[in-house]
Amino acid sequence: MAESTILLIVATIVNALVLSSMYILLALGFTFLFNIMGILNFAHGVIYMIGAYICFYMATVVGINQWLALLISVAVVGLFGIFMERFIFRPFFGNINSIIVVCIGLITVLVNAVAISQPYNVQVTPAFVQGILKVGIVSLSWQRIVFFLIGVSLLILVLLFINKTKQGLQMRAVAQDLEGAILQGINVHFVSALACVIACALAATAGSLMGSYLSLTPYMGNDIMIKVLEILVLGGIGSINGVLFAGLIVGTLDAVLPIWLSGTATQAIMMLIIIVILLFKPQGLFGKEVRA
Amino acid sequence: MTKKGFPFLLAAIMLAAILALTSLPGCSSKTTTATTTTTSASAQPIKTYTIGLCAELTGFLGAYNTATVNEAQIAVDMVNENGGIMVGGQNYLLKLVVEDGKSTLDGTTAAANKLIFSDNVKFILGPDAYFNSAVSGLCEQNKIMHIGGYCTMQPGELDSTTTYSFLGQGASINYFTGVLAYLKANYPNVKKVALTMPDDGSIPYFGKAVQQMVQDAGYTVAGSIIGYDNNAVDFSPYAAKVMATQADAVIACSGVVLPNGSILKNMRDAGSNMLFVVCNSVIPSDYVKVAGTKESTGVVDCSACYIGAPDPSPILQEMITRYIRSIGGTGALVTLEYANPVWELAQLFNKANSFDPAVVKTTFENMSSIETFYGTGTISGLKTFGIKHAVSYQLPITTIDNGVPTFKQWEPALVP
Repeated sequence: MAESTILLIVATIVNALVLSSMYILLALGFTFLFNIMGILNFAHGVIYMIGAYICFYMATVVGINQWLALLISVAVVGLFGIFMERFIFRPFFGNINSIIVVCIGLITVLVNAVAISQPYNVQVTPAFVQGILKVGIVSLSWQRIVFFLIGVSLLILVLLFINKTKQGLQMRAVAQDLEGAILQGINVHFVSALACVIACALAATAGSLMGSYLSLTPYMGNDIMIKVLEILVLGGIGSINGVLFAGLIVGTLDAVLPIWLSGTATQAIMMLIIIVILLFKPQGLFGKEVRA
Repeated sequence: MTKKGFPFLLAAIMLAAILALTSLPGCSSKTTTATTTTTSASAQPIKTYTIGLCAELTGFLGAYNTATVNEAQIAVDMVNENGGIMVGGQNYLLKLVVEDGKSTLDGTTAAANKLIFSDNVKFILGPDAYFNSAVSGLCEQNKIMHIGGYCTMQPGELDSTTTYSFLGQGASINYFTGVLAYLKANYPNVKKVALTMPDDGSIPYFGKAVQQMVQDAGYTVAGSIIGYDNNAVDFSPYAAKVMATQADAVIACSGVVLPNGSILKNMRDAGSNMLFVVCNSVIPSDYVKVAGTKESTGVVDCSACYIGAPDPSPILQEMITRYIRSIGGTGALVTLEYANPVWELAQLFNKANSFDPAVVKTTFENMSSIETFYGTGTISGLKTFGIKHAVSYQLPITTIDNGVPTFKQWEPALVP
C-alpha cells in the first residue's frame, strides 16, 4: 500500500474516533433531557459554545492551566444547568411551543452576547496536550488520542451512572413513567436538575475540548447542533444505544466523506445516507415504533 | 424618576434611536445623484455627487465588510478633503450611499436594484466575495459603471460580456500571482504543490486558472484541487488529504480565515511541516488566532492586508492613520477592497471630466495605469478575464513563524 494511502487511512480513523466521541457526548446530554424532562433543548449547542468560551477565557485571559480551565468550565456550565432547569424549563414543563421559543431566545441572547464581547470572530484554545506520537511513517497528535480516551471514559462513566447508581435508577424511572416515579416518592425536580447538570457538563466538556481540537466561534453551537439532531434522528430519539451507534456513524461519515468527495457534496451525501437509513427504519436505528 | 418624566425619557430615547439608525450606512434616505448645498462660510454652492456601494453588512461577511466599508468612507473623506473632484468645471464632493447585500446573491441583487432604481446612482462599487455576478449583469443592462471589490472568476462576475464592470482590486488572482512569484524566487526546493480552495463554485473557474498558472511556473500540481466545505465542522479530513499528497508546499488559493487556519492547525497538530502558502484578504495575524501560536509556523502569506511595511505610500499612510483614529486597532486591518475602487473612481471622474458611465468606462479602458493605495496599479486582465478591466498592484508578502508575522517585501503582482 502506498505511503500516502496509509497516512490518509490512519488520519481518517483517528479523526473519525475523536469526532464520534465528541458528538456522542453532546448528543447524550440532549437525550438525557429529552428522556427525563421531555424537553427538546435546542439551546444545547449554545451551552456547548459557552463551555468552550469559558475554558478559552480561563486558559488564555486568566492564564490558568487548560485542564483546570476545563474543570472550571464544566462546573460553571453544570451550575447553569440547575438555573436552566429551575427558571427556563420548569415553568414551561409540558408546553413544547413555549420551550422552543425560550430556547430560541436563549440562543439569540447567548450567541449575540458572545459575538459582541469577543474582539475576534474565530479563536482557538491552546493545546491541552503537546507532542506528536510517531509510529513508523505515521505521526499522530497526542491531543487527539487523549481526547478520544476522555470521550470514551466519560461515556463509560455516564452509562455506569445510569445503570448502577440509585440516582441513575431514579432517572430511568422518571424517563419511563413520570407519574409512577412521583408515586414512588422520587423527587422529580431533583432528578430533572441532575439531568440538566449532567447534560450541561457533558456539553461543556465537549465544547472545551473541541475549542482546542477545532476552533471557537460564537456560532460553533449551530453547526454542532445539526450533527446532534442527525444523530438523534438516526439513532432513534430517546435511545441511548441509538446515540452511541448513530454518533459513531455520523462521526465516521464526517471524517471519511470529505476524503472522497468534494467539499459541499459531503453534507448532501451524508443527509442522503441518513434519509435512506430512515426509509428502512423510520423510527431510527434503535427507536421504538409508535403505533397510532 | 417620576411617572410624568418617564414618557419624556422614553420619547427622547426613541428619537435618539431613530436619529442613530438613520445615520447608519445603508439606512440613508433617498438621494438624487447630484445635489447642491451651500456653506455659510463661503456662501458658494458646493455640489455633491452620490456613488453607490453594494456591501455585505450582515451575514457571514458582515464583520469583515463593516471594516471595509469604513475604509471606503475614509477614502471618500480623503478625496473630499483634498478638494473633491472636478467635472465640467464644477467642483463636487463625493457622497457614498451603502446598501446591504446581506452576504447572499438574492440580497446583493436587491441591494444593486435599490442603488440603481431607488438611489439613482450611475456608479456602483463592490460587492465582495463571489457576489459580483449579482451586480455585473444588472449594471450591464442599465449601463451603470461597476467597479468590483473582489472576484472569484465565476461566470458573470467579470468577463468579455460585462463591459461596464471592472475589478478595482486584483483580489484572489492578484494575491495568487504575487505569492507564486515569491515562492518561485525564495523557495527553490519546492517542486510539487497541493492546492486548496473553498468548494463554492469557483473551482472550475478560479481553480482551473490557478492550476494552469502553477504548471506554467514549472511546478507539479499534487493531485486535483482539494475543495473544502466552508461550513464543515471539522477540517481535519482536508488537512489529511493535503498531507497525503506529500507535496513540498500547499497553496490555499482563496478562502477565509477559519478553514485555512483550521487546515494549518490540523496539519501542524499531525506533525506536518509542509510549507503553508496562503493568499486572500485575511490579516496574517488572524491565522495565529485560529491555528495557535506554535502551529502558525512555516506560513507565507500574500494578501491586501498591510501589517507595517516600512515604506507605505503617503495615501496608504494617511489611510492607516485615519483608520486607527476612527475605530482604533493596530492598523493591520486595511484590506481596501472598497477603498481602492473609491480612489480609482475619483481619478476617473477627473480624467473623464464626465459623469456619463459610458465616457468614464471608455476612459478607464484607455488607461494603462491608475493610482491605488498600494502604489501605481496596472490595468490588465485580458488573458485572465477575457477583458482588460482589472487593476493589479504590488502586494505585501508576510511570513509567519512561531505565531509572529513578519513583513518580507512588496511583491509586484501583475494579473495577466
